[in-house]
Amino acid sequence: MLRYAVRRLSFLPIILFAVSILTFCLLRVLPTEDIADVIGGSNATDQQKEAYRERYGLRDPIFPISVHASMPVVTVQRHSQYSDWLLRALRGDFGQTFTSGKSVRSEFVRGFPASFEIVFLSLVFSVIFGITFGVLSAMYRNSILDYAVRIFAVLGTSIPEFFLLSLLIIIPSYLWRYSMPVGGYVSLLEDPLTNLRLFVPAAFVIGIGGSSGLMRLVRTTMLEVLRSDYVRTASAKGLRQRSVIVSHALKNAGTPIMTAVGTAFIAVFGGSVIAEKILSINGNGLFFFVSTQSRDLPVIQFLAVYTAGVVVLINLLVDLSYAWIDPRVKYS
Amino acid sequence: MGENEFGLRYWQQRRLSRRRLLGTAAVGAAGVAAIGLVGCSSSKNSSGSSKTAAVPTPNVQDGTQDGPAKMGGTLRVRQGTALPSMKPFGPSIFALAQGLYLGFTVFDHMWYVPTDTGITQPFLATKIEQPDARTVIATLGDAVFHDKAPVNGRKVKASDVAASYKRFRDEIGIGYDWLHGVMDDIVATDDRTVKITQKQPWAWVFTSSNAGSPWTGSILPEEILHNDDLMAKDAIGSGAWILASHDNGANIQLKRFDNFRDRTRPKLSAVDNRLITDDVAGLAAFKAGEIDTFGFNNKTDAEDTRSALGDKITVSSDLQRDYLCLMLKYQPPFDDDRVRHAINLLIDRDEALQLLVEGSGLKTGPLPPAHKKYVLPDDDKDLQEYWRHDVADAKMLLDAAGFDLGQELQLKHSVRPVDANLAQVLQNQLGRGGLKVKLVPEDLVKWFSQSLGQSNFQMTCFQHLPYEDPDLPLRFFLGGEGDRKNFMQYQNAEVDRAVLAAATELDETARIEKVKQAQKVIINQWSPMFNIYSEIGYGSRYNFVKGAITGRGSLGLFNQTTWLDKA
Repeated sequence: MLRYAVRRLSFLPIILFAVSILTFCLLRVLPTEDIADVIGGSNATDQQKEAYRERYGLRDPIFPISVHASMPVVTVQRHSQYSDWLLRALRGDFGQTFTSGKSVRSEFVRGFPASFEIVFLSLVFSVIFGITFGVLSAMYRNSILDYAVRIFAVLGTSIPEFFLLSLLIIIPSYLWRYSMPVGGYVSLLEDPLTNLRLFVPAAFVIGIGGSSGLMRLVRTTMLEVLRSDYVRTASAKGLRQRSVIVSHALKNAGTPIMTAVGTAFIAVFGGSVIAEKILSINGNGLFFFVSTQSRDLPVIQFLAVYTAGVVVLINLLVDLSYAWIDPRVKYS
Repeated sequence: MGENEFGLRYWQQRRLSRRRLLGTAAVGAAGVAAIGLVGCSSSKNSSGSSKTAAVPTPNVQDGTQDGPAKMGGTLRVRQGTALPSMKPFGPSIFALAQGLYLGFTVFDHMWYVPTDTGITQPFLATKIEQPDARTVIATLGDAVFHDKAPVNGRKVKASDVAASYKRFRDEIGIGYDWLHGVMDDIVATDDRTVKITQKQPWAWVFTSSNAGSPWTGSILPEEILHNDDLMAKDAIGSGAWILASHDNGANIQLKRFDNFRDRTRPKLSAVDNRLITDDVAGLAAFKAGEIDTFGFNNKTDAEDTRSALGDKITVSSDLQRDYLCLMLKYQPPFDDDRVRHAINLLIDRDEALQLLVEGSGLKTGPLPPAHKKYVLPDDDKDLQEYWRHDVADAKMLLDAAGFDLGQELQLKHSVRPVDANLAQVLQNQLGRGGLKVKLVPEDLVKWFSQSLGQSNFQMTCFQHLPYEDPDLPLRFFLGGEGDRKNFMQYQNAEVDRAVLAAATELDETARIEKVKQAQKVIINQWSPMFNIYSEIGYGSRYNFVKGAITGRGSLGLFNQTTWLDKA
C-alpha cells in the first residue's frame, strides 16, 4: 500500500504543474485582460502602466519557450512570467497580492486555522448525519422516518447553502433577536464559547448540504447489503441488530460510502467559502473570494493550485481507505 | 438623523463600504476622483471661508444637541469589508478603501468643508490666507503624531504636510483632478507654514474633492511616506484616533489619541469595528445589540427594525449626495444632440425612483439635489425640460436624426445590485422608444478599470459617490486634456467655459449663479451624462449613542463628538 501511495503521490506534482500552466494561460491570455489596467486602474498613464508591468514582471514572455512560424522556430528565454513564478513557488513563495502587497503565503497561513476548522466541523457533521440517517432510513424502509430522510436529502441537495446560511442569521434574529458572534474568527483556545457559537451553527448548515448525497447513497447501499446472505446469516445466528448493522452491513457498504465522503468533502470545501463570506469569518475562503473579485492574479493562481492539491490528496486518502475498510482490496 | 449620522458611515454602516466600495473600493467611476483631487470653497478672504451665511437644514446637528458629553466608552460599529492594507496610497483605486477610512480616523487634515455651510473649518491649520487667487498660505497649529516607532510622537511639521500632498500626487489620479490639474507646488516655508501655489485660481480649493480631501489631504509623517512595508500593516498619523489593532484589516480597533490637537475630542475612548460583510448579518447584529449603529439598505428594513426595537432606537433618514446616472460615450450615434436629447426624454425618472427605491428619493439634474445652495430650482425651465419624459417626442427626435433603430446598443454596467437594477430599468425605458439595448454586466473591477476608466463603452450606468461639493459632479463634464479626458470623451467648449467659470469664481454669491448657469449649459447641450435620482438613506442608532454630527456631509465621519450615555 505504501508503494501505491507513493506512486499516487508522485502524480501530484504533475497534476499541480498542469493545473498551474492551465490557470496561468487562462489568466494571462484572456482577451481584454491587461493586468496593468487592473492594477493601474482608471486613467493610469501609459508610463504608469509600464511601471506596473515592470514591477510585476509582466513584460517578460508568459512561457520560457516560444514557437515561431519562421526561423528560429523555437526560442528559449531565460526569464518568463511562468518560469519565474514556478521557481518562486517551488521555494514556497507564491508572490504578493496586487491589492495589499502582502505575501500570498503569509495571508494563506493566517487564514488557514479558521478555514480548516469550518471545513473540519462541517465534514464531521456531514458524515455523522449522512451515515446515521442513511442507515436508519435503510433499516426502517418505507417508514415515516425513511420518507422524512429522503425528503430531507432532496431538500438538502436542492437548497443552496447561501440561502440556508442566511436563514441561520435571519430566523434567530427575527424570533429571539439573537445574532451569531460578529467580528470574525476567534480561536478555539482563546475563546472556546465564542468560537463554537460561530462555527457550530455554520458547520451544521454546511454539513446538511454535504450530507444529503451521502445520506441517499448510504441508504441505497445499505438496502442492498441488508438483503445479502451474510447479513441474513448473521441475524439468524442471533447477533444483536446493532452488531449486524455496524460490524457486518456497514463495513461492507464502506467502500462506496467513502467515495461519497470524498465528494462531500469537496462540497463542504466549497460551502465554507460561502459561509466565510456570509458570516464574515476572516479566513481563506473570504480571502479567496475577495481576491477573485478584485482579479488579484497571484492569489487566484495560488488558489487553483491549492484546490487541485487538496482534491488530489483527498482522492488519494479515499482510495487508500478502501484497503483499510475492505481487506479484499489490495494495492500493489 | 443625517446621512452621516455617526461617522464611519461609509464603512461600518455599509453605505460606502458595502454598496459602494465593496470588494475593491472601486465604486462608481467617479469614485476615486471624488475624493482625490482638486480644490475649494469659498471666498477670497483670509480664512477662505464664505461670507455667505450657511443655509441650515432641519436635520443639521453639530454634535452638541444632546448636552454635555460623557467621556469614555466604546462605540461598536460595523466594518463592511476588511481593508487590504493600511497604506493610503495606490496603486490606483485599490487604496480608496483604506485611504478614506484612515483619513477619517487616523490621519489629520489641514481643514474640512462641511457640505451644509461650504465654510472652511480649520483642522490642523489655524490660519489660512489667500494673498492672491493662486496662492494659499496656511499656518499649522500645535500637533504631534501618534507615539509609534519610527515617529515616536514627534511634532507635526509643515514639511510633513508638503511631503504628504506630493506623495499622493505621485499616485494615479483620475480625470481632471486638483493634485495634477490645478496644484502647481506645495512647499514648507518654515516648520509651521505651508505655501500652496496653483496653476490657476480654483474656487473649490479647500473642499473634499480637492485640497481638503479626506483621502489625499491626509497628513502622514514624512519618514514613513515611502515605507511600504510599515504602511501595509500599520498607520501612523496625528488624527483623533490611534490605530490600536486589526486582524489583517478586519475588526479594526481605534483608541482615543489623548494628545490630539483638540484635547476635548474625541469623546469616546475607543471605536470597535466588527467585520460583518453581509447585510443580513449586519441587521441581525444590530437587532441583537452587537453593534450600536446601522445603515439600512432600504426603507422597508428601516421600518421593520423600528417596529421591532421600538423606542430603544432612533431611525432617521436623509437625502443622499450620491446619484445614479446614464453615461453615453461621445461618438456615433451619440454625437448627435438630437439623439442624446431623445435618450434623455426616454428616461422616466419617476418610474425609476418607484421601481428602484420605492419612491424614496429625488430626481436630480446635473447636480444632485443635496447641494441645496447650488442646484437649479425645481421649477427652472431647463431643469423641467431635463426631467421631461416623452416617448413620442423622443421618437420624433430619433427619426429626425435618422437614427437606425435596427442597431443594437450596448449598456455596460457593474454587477453591483444598484447598477444592475438600474441597467434593467433603463433597458426597458429606452426600449419603449424603439431602442434595442443589450445589457453587458461586468465584474466591478473590470467595469471600472477597463470599461469606464478606458472609455470602453457605448453606454454605461452607475451610482456616483457622495461628493461633498458641486465641483466634482460638474467636473465630470470638463473636456480635460491629454490622457486625462473625461470618461465620455466629451469635449464641448461652451460646457468647459461654463464649468471653469464657476470653478474659478472666488466670490461665493457669484459662483452660485455660475454653477447654476453651468448646469443650464450642460442641460442645453445635452451633455452625455444624464443624472437620474438621489435616494433617501436610512440609518439607525441605539438611543444611548449621543452627540452625532448629522446633515453636515462627511464631517460626522471623523467621529469626534459622538458619546455614549450608558454605564
